[in-house]
Amino acid sequence: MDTNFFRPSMKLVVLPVLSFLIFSLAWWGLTTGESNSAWPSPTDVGRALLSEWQSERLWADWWASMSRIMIGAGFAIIAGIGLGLLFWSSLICRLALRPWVDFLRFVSPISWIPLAIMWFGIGDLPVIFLIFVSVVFPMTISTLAALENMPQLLPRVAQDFRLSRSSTLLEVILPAVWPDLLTAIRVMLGMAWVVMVAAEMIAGKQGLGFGIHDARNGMRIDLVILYMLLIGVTGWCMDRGLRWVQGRPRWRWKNG
Amino acid sequence: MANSMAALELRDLSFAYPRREALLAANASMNLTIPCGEILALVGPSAVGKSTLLHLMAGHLRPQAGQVWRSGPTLVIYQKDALLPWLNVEENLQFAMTYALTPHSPGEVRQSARNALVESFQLSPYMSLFPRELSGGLRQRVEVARALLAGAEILLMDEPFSALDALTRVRVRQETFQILRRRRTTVVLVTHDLLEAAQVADRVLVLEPNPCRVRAEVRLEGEIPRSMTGMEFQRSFQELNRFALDSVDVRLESTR
Repeated sequence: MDTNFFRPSMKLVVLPVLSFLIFSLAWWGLTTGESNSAWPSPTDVGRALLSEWQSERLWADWWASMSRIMIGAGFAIIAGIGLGLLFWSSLICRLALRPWVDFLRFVSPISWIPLAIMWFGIGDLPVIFLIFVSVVFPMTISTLAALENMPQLLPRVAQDFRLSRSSTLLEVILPAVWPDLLTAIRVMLGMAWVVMVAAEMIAGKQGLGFGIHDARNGMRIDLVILYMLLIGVTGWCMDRGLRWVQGRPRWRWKNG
Repeated sequence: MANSMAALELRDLSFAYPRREALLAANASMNLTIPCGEILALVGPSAVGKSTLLHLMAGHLRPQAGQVWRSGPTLVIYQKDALLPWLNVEENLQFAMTYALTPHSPGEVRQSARNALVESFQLSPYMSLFPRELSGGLRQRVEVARALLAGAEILLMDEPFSALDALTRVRVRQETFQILRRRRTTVVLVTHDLLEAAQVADRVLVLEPNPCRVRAEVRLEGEIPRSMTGMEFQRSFQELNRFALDSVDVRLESTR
Protein backbone atom coordinates (compact mmCIF):
# COMPACT_ATOMS: atom_id res chain seq x y z
CA MET A 1 0.00 0.00 0.00
CA ASP A 2 1.31 3.43 -0.95
CA THR A 3 1.84 5.43 2.21
CA ASN A 4 2.55 8.77 0.42
CA PHE A 5 -1.02 9.88 1.00
CA PHE A 6 -0.51 9.75 4.76
CA ARG A 7 2.44 12.13 4.73
CA PRO A 8 1.50 15.46 6.36
CA SER A 9 2.53 17.45 3.24
CA MET A 10 0.24 15.31 1.05
CA LYS A 11 -2.65 15.71 3.46
CA LEU A 12 -2.22 19.48 3.32
CA VAL A 13 -2.87 19.46 -0.44
CA VAL A 14 -5.06 16.44 -1.00
CA LEU A 15 -7.63 16.92 1.77
CA PRO A 16 -8.66 20.51 0.89
CA VAL A 17 -8.84 19.61 -2.84
CA LEU A 18 -10.87 16.50 -2.04
CA SER A 19 -13.34 18.40 0.15
CA PHE A 20 -13.67 21.08 -2.56
CA LEU A 21 -14.45 18.42 -5.18
CA ILE A 22 -17.02 16.71 -2.95
CA PHE A 23 -18.70 20.05 -2.20
CA SER A 24 -18.76 21.01 -5.91
CA LEU A 25 -20.21 17.61 -6.90
CA ALA A 26 -22.87 17.85 -4.18
CA TRP A 27 -23.76 21.38 -5.35
CA TRP A 28 -23.92 20.12 -8.94
CA GLY A 29 -26.03 17.12 -8.04
CA LEU A 30 -28.51 19.19 -6.02
CA THR A 31 -28.98 21.98 -8.59
CA THR A 32 -28.86 20.35 -12.07
CA GLY A 33 -31.87 18.73 -13.60
CA GLU A 34 -34.52 21.38 -13.33
CA SER A 35 -33.98 25.07 -13.95
CA ASN A 36 -34.48 27.11 -10.79
CA SER A 37 -33.20 30.68 -10.47
CA ALA A 38 -33.20 30.46 -6.63
CA TRP A 39 -30.77 27.50 -6.74
CA PRO A 40 -28.24 28.23 -9.50
CA SER A 41 -25.86 25.44 -10.49
CA PRO A 42 -22.07 25.80 -10.70
CA THR A 43 -22.50 26.13 -14.50
CA ASP A 44 -24.86 29.09 -14.03
CA VAL A 45 -22.36 30.77 -11.73
CA GLY A 46 -19.55 30.02 -14.23
CA ARG A 47 -21.58 31.63 -17.02
CA ALA A 48 -22.24 34.66 -14.81
CA LEU A 49 -18.50 34.93 -14.17
CA LEU A 50 -17.74 34.98 -17.92
CA SER A 51 -20.38 37.62 -18.71
CA GLU A 52 -19.40 39.84 -15.73
CA TRP A 53 -15.72 39.46 -16.61
CA GLN A 54 -16.41 40.84 -20.08
CA SER A 55 -18.55 43.70 -18.80
CA GLU A 56 -15.75 44.66 -16.36
CA ARG A 57 -18.29 45.55 -13.68
CA LEU A 58 -17.15 42.69 -11.48
CA TRP A 59 -13.59 44.04 -11.27
CA ALA A 60 -14.78 47.60 -10.78
CA ASP A 61 -16.85 46.38 -7.81
CA TRP A 62 -13.95 44.26 -6.54
CA TRP A 63 -11.50 47.16 -6.76
CA ALA A 64 -13.96 49.56 -5.07
CA SER A 65 -14.26 47.15 -2.11
CA MET A 66 -10.52 46.42 -1.97
CA SER A 67 -9.59 50.10 -1.94
CA ARG A 68 -12.13 50.80 0.81
CA ILE A 69 -10.80 47.92 2.90
CA MET A 70 -7.21 49.02 2.40
CA ILE A 71 -7.91 52.65 3.30
CA GLY A 72 -10.42 52.04 6.12
CA ALA A 73 -8.70 49.08 7.75
CA GLY A 74 -5.22 50.50 7.06
CA PHE A 75 -5.94 53.77 8.87
CA ALA A 76 -7.79 51.93 11.66
CA ILE A 77 -4.87 49.53 12.22
CA ILE A 78 -2.37 52.41 12.38
CA ALA A 79 -4.67 54.42 14.69
CA GLY A 80 -5.37 51.35 16.87
CA ILE A 81 -1.65 50.61 17.26
CA GLY A 82 -1.03 54.28 18.07
CA LEU A 83 -3.79 54.36 20.68
CA GLY A 84 -2.61 51.07 22.18
CA LEU A 85 0.92 52.48 22.52
CA LEU A 86 -0.46 55.67 24.05
CA PHE A 87 -2.47 53.71 26.64
CA TRP A 88 0.53 51.53 27.42
CA SER A 89 2.92 54.42 27.90
CA SER A 90 0.63 56.91 29.66
CA LEU A 91 -1.43 56.00 32.68
CA ILE A 92 -3.30 59.32 32.47
CA CYS A 93 -4.36 58.67 28.86
CA ARG A 94 -5.32 55.10 29.72
CA LEU A 95 -7.48 56.16 32.66
CA ALA A 96 -9.11 58.98 30.69
CA LEU A 97 -9.72 57.26 27.35
CA ARG A 98 -9.88 53.49 27.94
CA PRO A 99 -13.55 53.60 29.12
CA TRP A 100 -14.47 55.33 25.83
CA VAL A 101 -12.73 52.68 23.78
CA ASP A 102 -14.39 49.89 25.80
CA PHE A 103 -17.77 51.56 25.36
CA LEU A 104 -17.39 52.20 21.63
CA ARG A 105 -16.13 48.73 20.79
CA PHE A 106 -19.42 47.28 22.06
CA VAL A 107 -21.45 49.58 19.80
CA SER A 108 -22.08 47.48 16.68
CA PRO A 109 -20.48 49.10 13.60
CA ILE A 110 -23.74 48.45 11.72
CA SER A 111 -25.55 50.79 14.11
CA TRP A 112 -23.34 53.62 12.84
CA ILE A 113 -24.82 53.28 9.31
CA PRO A 114 -27.57 55.96 9.68
CA LEU A 115 -25.07 58.44 11.10
CA ALA A 116 -22.49 57.58 8.44
CA ILE A 117 -25.03 58.24 5.65
CA MET A 118 -26.13 61.51 7.26
CA TRP A 119 -22.56 62.72 7.73
CA PHE A 120 -20.94 61.43 4.54
CA GLY A 121 -23.81 60.68 2.12
CA ILE A 122 -23.67 57.65 -0.16
CA GLY A 123 -20.43 56.35 -1.69
CA ASP A 124 -16.87 55.61 -0.56
CA LEU A 125 -16.64 57.75 2.57
CA PRO A 126 -19.41 56.22 4.71
CA VAL A 127 -18.14 52.70 3.94
CA ILE A 128 -14.55 53.65 4.79
CA PHE A 129 -15.79 55.29 8.00
CA LEU A 130 -17.74 52.16 9.00
CA ILE A 131 -14.75 49.91 8.32
CA PHE A 132 -12.63 52.29 10.40
CA VAL A 133 -14.95 52.24 13.45
CA SER A 134 -15.30 48.46 13.26
CA VAL A 135 -11.51 47.94 13.41
CA VAL A 136 -9.98 50.79 15.40
CA PHE A 137 -11.34 49.98 18.88
CA PRO A 138 -10.68 46.21 18.93
CA MET A 139 -7.25 46.92 17.40
CA THR A 140 -6.48 49.32 20.27
CA ILE A 141 -7.34 46.66 22.85
CA SER A 142 -5.37 43.99 20.99
CA THR A 143 -2.32 46.25 20.77
CA LEU A 144 -2.52 47.04 24.48
CA ALA A 145 -2.79 43.32 25.31
CA ALA A 146 0.20 42.55 23.05
CA LEU A 147 2.26 45.25 24.77
CA GLU A 148 1.30 43.98 28.22
CA ASN A 149 2.27 40.41 27.24
CA MET A 150 5.57 41.44 25.66
CA PRO A 151 8.66 39.81 27.24
CA GLN A 152 9.53 42.45 29.83
CA LEU A 153 13.27 42.02 29.37
CA LEU A 154 13.13 43.51 25.88
CA PRO A 155 12.36 47.13 26.86
CA ARG A 156 15.05 46.70 29.53
CA VAL A 157 17.55 45.78 26.79
CA ALA A 158 16.63 48.98 24.93
CA GLN A 159 17.21 50.91 28.15
CA ASP A 160 20.57 49.18 28.75
CA PHE A 161 21.72 50.04 25.21
CA ARG A 162 20.51 53.63 25.78
CA LEU A 163 18.28 53.64 22.72
CA SER A 164 16.34 56.84 21.98
CA ARG A 165 12.55 56.74 22.33
CA SER A 166 12.03 56.41 18.59
CA SER A 167 14.68 53.67 18.25
CA THR A 168 13.18 51.82 21.22
CA LEU A 169 9.80 51.93 19.52
CA LEU A 170 10.99 50.96 16.04
CA GLU A 171 13.81 48.56 16.89
CA VAL A 172 12.46 46.82 19.99
CA ILE A 173 8.83 47.46 20.97
CA LEU A 174 7.10 47.11 17.60
CA PRO A 175 9.08 44.02 16.50
CA ALA A 176 8.44 42.49 19.95
CA VAL A 177 4.66 42.79 19.56
CA TRP A 178 4.53 42.23 15.80
CA PRO A 179 3.59 38.49 15.97
CA ASP A 180 0.59 39.34 18.20
CA LEU A 181 -0.33 42.31 16.02
CA LEU A 182 -0.31 40.09 12.92
CA THR A 183 -2.81 37.74 14.59
CA ALA A 184 -4.97 40.74 15.56
CA ILE A 185 -4.79 42.16 12.02
CA ARG A 186 -5.98 38.81 10.60
CA VAL A 187 -9.01 38.86 12.91
CA MET A 188 -9.68 42.57 12.20
CA LEU A 189 -9.60 42.06 8.44
CA GLY A 190 -12.24 39.34 8.75
CA MET A 191 -14.39 41.75 10.73
CA ALA A 192 -13.76 44.57 8.24
CA TRP A 193 -14.99 42.41 5.33
CA VAL A 194 -18.23 41.57 7.15
CA VAL A 195 -18.93 45.21 7.96
CA MET A 196 -17.93 46.42 4.50
CA VAL A 197 -20.38 44.13 2.70
CA ALA A 198 -23.23 45.23 4.98
CA ALA A 199 -22.26 48.90 4.63
CA GLU A 200 -22.01 48.73 0.84
CA MET A 201 -25.46 47.16 0.63
CA ILE A 202 -26.92 50.23 2.32
CA ALA A 203 -24.53 53.13 1.80
CA GLY A 204 -22.59 52.18 -1.32
CA LYS A 205 -22.94 52.97 -5.02
CA GLN A 206 -20.41 50.35 -6.04
CA GLY A 207 -18.55 47.44 -4.48
CA LEU A 208 -19.07 43.76 -3.81
CA GLY A 209 -21.75 44.35 -1.13
CA PHE A 210 -23.60 46.72 -3.45
CA GLY A 211 -23.22 44.14 -6.24
CA ILE A 212 -24.93 41.48 -4.08
CA HIS A 213 -27.73 43.89 -3.20
CA ASP A 214 -28.18 44.91 -6.84
CA ALA A 215 -28.16 41.29 -8.07
CA ARG A 216 -30.78 40.30 -5.47
CA ASN A 217 -33.02 43.16 -6.63
CA GLY A 218 -32.66 41.82 -10.19
CA MET A 219 -33.32 38.23 -8.99
CA ARG A 220 -29.85 37.21 -10.26
CA ILE A 221 -29.00 34.65 -7.57
CA ASP A 222 -26.18 33.30 -9.76
CA LEU A 223 -24.57 36.73 -9.48
CA VAL A 224 -25.18 36.84 -5.71
CA ILE A 225 -23.30 33.54 -5.36
CA LEU A 226 -20.55 34.73 -7.71
CA TYR A 227 -20.00 37.87 -5.57
CA MET A 228 -20.09 35.77 -2.40
CA LEU A 229 -17.45 33.45 -3.85
CA LEU A 230 -15.31 36.43 -4.83
CA ILE A 231 -15.55 37.89 -1.30
CA GLY A 232 -14.59 34.53 0.20
CA VAL A 233 -11.66 33.98 -2.18
CA THR A 234 -10.33 37.54 -1.71
CA GLY A 235 -10.57 37.30 2.10
CA TRP A 236 -8.91 33.88 2.01
CA CYS A 237 -6.03 35.20 -0.14
CA MET A 238 -5.46 38.17 2.20
CA ASP A 239 -5.45 35.84 5.20
CA ARG A 240 -3.02 33.45 3.47
CA GLY A 241 -0.72 36.40 2.77
CA LEU A 242 -0.71 37.40 6.43
CA ARG A 243 -0.23 33.79 7.52
CA TRP A 244 2.74 33.58 5.19
CA VAL A 245 4.30 36.63 6.88
CA GLN A 246 3.51 35.10 10.30
CA GLY A 247 5.24 31.90 9.28
CA ARG A 248 8.56 33.57 8.36
CA PRO A 249 11.37 32.37 10.67
CA ARG A 250 11.86 35.95 11.92
CA TRP A 251 8.30 36.16 13.30
CA ARG A 252 7.84 32.56 14.43
CA TRP A 253 9.65 33.00 17.76
CA LYS A 254 6.48 33.48 19.77
CA ASN A 255 4.89 30.22 18.67
CA GLY A 256 8.02 28.08 18.97
CA MET B 1 35.37 61.22 44.82
CA ALA B 2 35.84 58.01 42.92
CA ASN B 3 38.99 55.96 43.17
CA SER B 4 40.88 56.30 39.88
CA MET B 5 41.47 52.52 39.73
CA ALA B 6 37.84 51.70 40.51
CA ALA B 7 35.44 50.46 37.86
CA LEU B 8 32.40 50.71 40.11
CA GLU B 9 31.80 52.39 43.45
CA LEU B 10 28.81 52.38 45.75
CA ARG B 11 28.84 55.18 48.33
CA ASP B 12 26.51 55.20 51.38
CA LEU B 13 23.81 53.47 49.36
CA SER B 14 20.40 52.94 50.92
CA PHE B 15 17.29 51.69 49.23
CA ALA B 16 13.76 50.46 50.01
CA TYR B 17 10.98 49.29 47.71
CA PRO B 18 7.78 51.33 48.21
CA ARG B 19 5.81 50.27 51.34
CA ARG B 20 8.42 47.63 52.21
CA GLU B 21 11.12 47.37 54.85
CA ALA B 22 14.44 48.91 53.77
CA LEU B 23 16.56 46.48 51.79
CA LEU B 24 19.64 48.62 52.24
CA ALA B 25 19.12 50.59 55.44
CA ALA B 26 20.43 54.11 55.97
CA ASN B 27 22.15 53.07 59.22
CA ALA B 28 23.84 50.15 57.46
CA SER B 29 24.31 51.69 54.04
CA MET B 30 26.31 49.86 51.42
CA ASN B 31 29.84 50.95 50.52
CA LEU B 32 31.70 49.02 47.92
CA THR B 33 34.60 49.58 45.55
CA ILE B 34 35.22 47.24 42.65
CA PRO B 35 38.60 47.73 40.99
CA CYS B 36 38.96 47.63 37.20
CA GLY B 37 39.21 44.08 35.89
CA GLU B 38 38.01 42.43 39.10
CA ILE B 39 35.48 39.61 39.04
CA LEU B 40 33.33 40.02 42.12
CA ALA B 41 30.71 37.45 43.12
CA LEU B 42 27.74 38.29 45.33
CA VAL B 43 26.35 35.24 47.13
CA GLY B 44 23.71 34.84 49.77
CA PRO B 45 20.30 33.32 50.38
CA SER B 46 17.25 34.08 48.25
CA ALA B 47 15.66 37.53 48.63
CA VAL B 48 18.73 38.88 50.41
CA GLY B 49 18.88 41.72 47.86
CA LYS B 50 21.61 40.52 45.47
CA SER B 51 19.63 41.27 42.31
CA THR B 52 18.38 44.59 43.72
CA LEU B 53 21.99 45.57 44.35
CA LEU B 54 22.80 44.65 40.76
CA HIS B 55 19.91 46.75 39.42
CA LEU B 56 21.08 49.68 41.55
CA MET B 57 24.56 49.27 40.03
CA ALA B 58 23.02 49.18 36.53
CA GLY B 59 20.97 52.31 37.18
CA HIS B 60 17.64 50.51 36.76
CA LEU B 61 16.72 51.48 40.31
CA ARG B 62 17.34 54.82 41.98
CA PRO B 63 18.75 54.71 45.53
CA GLN B 64 17.04 56.69 48.30
CA ALA B 65 20.43 57.97 49.35
CA GLY B 66 24.03 57.61 48.31
CA GLN B 67 25.41 57.19 44.84
CA VAL B 68 26.63 54.70 42.30
CA TRP B 69 29.64 55.62 40.21
CA ARG B 70 30.60 53.68 37.08
CA SER B 71 33.86 54.26 35.24
CA GLY B 72 32.64 53.03 31.87
CA PRO B 73 29.85 51.50 29.79
CA THR B 74 27.90 48.88 31.73
CA LEU B 75 25.55 46.14 30.55
CA VAL B 76 23.51 43.53 32.37
CA ILE B 77 23.48 39.83 31.45
CA TYR B 78 20.22 38.41 32.70
CA GLN B 79 19.26 34.95 33.94
CA LYS B 80 16.93 34.59 30.97
CA ASP B 81 18.66 35.50 27.75
CA ALA B 82 17.73 38.91 26.40
CA LEU B 83 18.66 38.49 22.75
CA LEU B 84 16.22 40.08 20.32
CA PRO B 85 14.33 36.98 19.17
CA TRP B 86 13.42 38.30 15.71
CA LEU B 87 17.08 38.90 14.83
CA ASN B 88 19.52 36.12 14.00
CA VAL B 89 22.93 35.90 15.70
CA GLU B 90 24.59 38.04 13.02
CA GLU B 91 21.88 40.72 13.35
CA ASN B 92 21.99 40.66 17.16
CA LEU B 93 25.71 41.37 16.96
CA GLN B 94 25.04 44.05 14.35
CA PHE B 95 22.55 45.61 16.78
CA ALA B 96 25.35 45.91 19.36
CA MET B 97 27.59 47.58 16.76
CA THR B 98 24.86 50.01 15.67
CA TYR B 99 23.99 50.97 19.25
CA ALA B 100 27.51 50.71 20.68
CA LEU B 101 27.89 52.27 24.12
CA THR B 102 31.29 53.75 23.27
CA PRO B 103 31.94 56.40 20.62
CA HIS B 104 31.91 54.82 17.16
CA SER B 105 35.30 53.57 16.06
CA PRO B 106 36.12 53.22 12.33
CA GLY B 107 34.25 50.50 10.47
CA GLU B 108 37.28 48.23 10.01
CA VAL B 109 38.11 48.35 13.72
CA ARG B 110 34.55 47.42 14.66
CA GLN B 111 34.52 44.64 12.10
CA SER B 112 37.77 43.16 13.36
CA ALA B 113 36.47 43.37 16.97
CA ARG B 114 33.37 41.52 15.84
CA ASN B 115 35.43 38.86 14.04
CA ALA B 116 37.64 38.37 17.10
CA LEU B 117 34.61 37.90 19.38
CA VAL B 118 32.91 35.53 16.94
CA GLU B 119 36.08 33.47 16.92
CA SER B 120 36.58 33.58 20.72
CA PHE B 121 33.00 32.48 21.39
CA GLN B 122 33.06 30.03 18.44
CA LEU B 123 29.91 31.47 16.93
CA SER B 124 30.73 31.19 13.20
CA PRO B 125 28.53 28.14 12.50
CA TYR B 126 25.50 29.78 14.12
CA MET B 127 25.46 33.27 12.62
CA SER B 128 22.33 32.74 10.52
CA LEU B 129 20.34 31.04 13.28
CA PHE B 130 17.65 32.73 15.38
CA PRO B 131 17.88 32.62 19.20
CA ARG B 132 15.09 30.03 19.49
CA GLU B 133 17.18 27.70 17.32
CA LEU B 134 20.17 27.88 19.71
CA SER B 135 20.81 25.96 22.92
CA GLY B 136 20.67 27.86 26.22
CA GLY B 137 24.46 27.82 26.49
CA LEU B 138 24.93 29.25 23.01
CA ARG B 139 22.38 31.97 23.67
CA GLN B 140 24.30 33.08 26.75
CA ARG B 141 27.56 33.08 24.75
CA VAL B 142 25.96 35.27 22.07
CA GLU B 143 24.62 37.61 24.71
CA VAL B 144 28.01 38.08 26.37
CA ALA B 145 29.60 38.57 22.92
CA ARG B 146 26.93 41.18 22.11
CA ALA B 147 27.64 43.06 25.35
CA LEU B 148 31.39 43.07 24.73
CA LEU B 149 30.92 44.13 21.12
CA ALA B 150 28.78 47.05 22.31
CA GLY B 151 31.82 48.18 24.28
CA ALA B 152 30.70 47.22 27.79
CA GLU B 153 33.62 47.49 30.20
CA ILE B 154 31.57 46.40 33.20
CA LEU B 155 29.28 43.36 33.05
CA LEU B 156 26.64 42.85 35.70
CA MET B 157 25.62 39.20 35.53
CA ASP B 158 22.43 38.12 37.28
CA GLU B 159 22.65 34.33 37.68
CA PRO B 160 23.49 34.06 33.99
CA PHE B 161 23.98 30.30 33.90
CA SER B 162 21.27 29.13 36.27
CA ALA B 163 18.88 28.16 33.46
CA LEU B 164 21.46 25.78 31.94
CA ASP B 165 21.83 22.11 32.76
CA ALA B 166 24.73 21.23 35.08
CA LEU B 167 27.18 20.02 32.41
CA THR B 168 26.53 22.87 29.99
CA ARG B 169 26.78 25.34 32.86
CA VAL B 170 30.30 24.22 33.78
CA ARG B 171 31.48 24.40 30.18
CA VAL B 172 29.88 27.75 29.26
CA ARG B 173 31.07 29.29 32.53
CA GLN B 174 34.62 28.08 31.90
CA GLU B 175 34.71 29.45 28.34
CA THR B 176 32.99 32.74 29.14
CA PHE B 177 35.17 33.64 32.10
CA GLN B 178 38.33 32.66 30.26
CA ILE B 179 37.46 35.31 27.67
CA LEU B 180 36.33 37.90 30.23
CA ARG B 181 39.52 37.51 32.22
CA ARG B 182 41.66 37.73 29.07
CA ARG B 183 39.91 41.01 28.18
CA ARG B 184 40.19 42.29 31.79
CA THR B 185 36.46 42.98 31.87
CA THR B 186 35.10 44.01 35.27
CA VAL B 187 32.33 41.62 36.31
CA VAL B 188 29.83 41.57 39.15
CA LEU B 189 28.31 38.10 39.27
CA VAL B 190 25.20 37.37 41.30
CA THR B 191 24.94 33.67 41.99
CA HIS B 192 23.45 31.06 44.30
CA ASP B 193 26.11 28.61 43.28
CA LEU B 194 29.11 28.63 45.61
CA LEU B 195 31.06 26.39 43.25
CA GLU B 196 30.55 28.96 40.51
CA ALA B 197 31.73 31.79 42.77
CA ALA B 198 34.76 29.77 43.90
CA GLN B 199 35.68 28.94 40.32
CA VAL B 200 35.52 32.36 38.69
CA ALA B 201 35.68 35.18 41.29
CA ASP B 202 38.65 37.18 42.56
CA ARG B 203 36.55 38.19 45.54
CA VAL B 204 33.29 36.89 46.98
CA LEU B 205 30.92 38.91 49.15
CA VAL B 206 28.60 36.81 51.29
CA LEU B 207 25.49 38.88 51.94
CA GLU B 208 23.08 38.58 54.84
CA PRO B 209 19.54 39.89 54.93
CA ASN B 210 17.34 42.38 56.86
CA PRO B 211 18.87 44.72 55.94
CA CYS B 212 21.20 43.51 53.21
CA ARG B 213 24.85 43.83 54.26
CA VAL B 214 28.16 42.13 53.71
CA ARG B 215 28.65 39.36 56.24
CA ALA B 216 31.97 38.16 54.93
CA GLU B 217 34.46 38.99 52.24
CA VAL B 218 36.55 36.16 50.85
CA ARG B 219 39.50 36.81 48.54
CA LEU B 220 40.46 33.91 46.35
CA GLU B 221 43.83 33.26 44.76
CA GLY B 222 44.81 31.57 41.54
CA GLU B 223 44.21 31.86 37.84
CA ILE B 224 40.62 32.30 36.64
CA PRO B 225 38.75 30.15 35.83
CA ARG B 226 40.14 27.86 38.54
CA SER B 227 40.47 24.17 38.09
CA MET B 228 37.81 22.54 40.24
CA THR B 229 40.14 19.72 41.23
CA GLY B 230 42.98 21.88 42.64
CA MET B 231 43.72 22.06 46.39
CA GLU B 232 43.46 25.86 46.34
CA PHE B 233 39.96 25.68 44.88
CA GLN B 234 38.93 23.14 47.48
CA ARG B 235 40.18 25.36 50.32
CA SER B 236 38.42 28.46 48.93
CA PHE B 237 35.22 26.53 48.43
CA GLN B 238 35.27 25.22 52.04
CA GLU B 239 35.79 28.72 53.38
CA LEU B 240 33.00 30.13 51.24
CA ASN B 241 30.69 27.34 52.26
CA ARG B 242 31.21 28.10 55.95
CA PHE B 243 30.36 31.81 55.56
CA ALA B 244 27.40 31.09 53.33
CA LEU B 245 25.93 28.60 55.80
CA ASP B 246 26.32 31.19 58.57
CA SER B 247 24.42 33.65 56.40
CA VAL B 248 21.56 31.19 55.94
CA ASP B 249 21.48 30.70 59.73
CA VAL B 250 21.13 34.46 60.18
CA ARG B 251 18.22 34.45 57.77
CA LEU B 252 16.47 31.61 59.54
CA GLU B 253 16.84 33.39 62.89
CA SER B 254 15.56 36.68 61.50
CA THR B 255 12.43 35.10 60.04
CA ARG B 256 11.47 33.27 63.24
